[in-house]
Amino acid sequence: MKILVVDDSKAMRMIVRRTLREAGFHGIEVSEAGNGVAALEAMQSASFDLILSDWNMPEMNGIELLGKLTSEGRTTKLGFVTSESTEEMKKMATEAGAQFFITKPFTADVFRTVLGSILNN
Amino acid sequence: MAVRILIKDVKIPILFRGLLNRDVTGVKIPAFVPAAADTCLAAVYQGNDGATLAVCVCDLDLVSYAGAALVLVQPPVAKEAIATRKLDPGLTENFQEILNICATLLTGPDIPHVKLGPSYANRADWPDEVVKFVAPARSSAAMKITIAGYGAGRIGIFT
Repeated sequence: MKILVVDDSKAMRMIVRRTLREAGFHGIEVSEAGNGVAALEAMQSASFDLILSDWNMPEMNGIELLGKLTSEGRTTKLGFVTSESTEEMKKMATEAGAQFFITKPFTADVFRTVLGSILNN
Repeated sequence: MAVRILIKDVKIPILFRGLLNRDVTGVKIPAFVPAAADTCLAAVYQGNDGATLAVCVCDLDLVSYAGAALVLVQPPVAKEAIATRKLDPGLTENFQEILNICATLLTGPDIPHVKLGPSYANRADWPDEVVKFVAPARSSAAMKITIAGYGAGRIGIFT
């Protein structure tokens, strides 16, 4: 299982990694990207089972990344892990095909619940 | 009429605890208005229209300890930064993520969307609006936050 964590904050990427471990998701290979553009570059040389993406990022934000993946016909699952969580954003994410919407700050329990069905399949 | 945001201060240490993954306690203190000579970080929170809704001020100690604890940098590194009386760029960058997530403290039924705006590491750079916000009368929450294994620092939120 390979996960790509996309967030412009290095600290947050580390926290997501840590939380995945705490949630009991072991044996997962985690890669990182600092924005949507870097995520697309990473996907050129590796395939991922799941993308955990922030919403607000420079160059290409999370919803733009999801739109790009969809337009390219990629089927990689993507969910948002973000500090901004208006109903409008959640609706936009769902309509764009996001698998889930996790709001920061999150806990290992939240990761276990939300990601469990995806990562254990 | 603009709605004034009121903070439930009990949520502040809970937020830090969740992010830092270690024990964090908070004690209420009088309004935290740093003195002119104090090193601190001020962050502006804005609504959808760009209007300033809140300002959060954190002292050097909190920025350094929390910025270090967030990414498991050893406590002596934070103490060294504090000794210089200057904000360390790396620890401050880490702390920005905490400030970003602090926006969740400010949302509510009447304030559906608040986001982190500019932040100021140098008090001399504070715009007039920030100066006006950071006053005892506008203090909504002020706490001394103690991070287990690291140390304590102060945070003040003005709305």
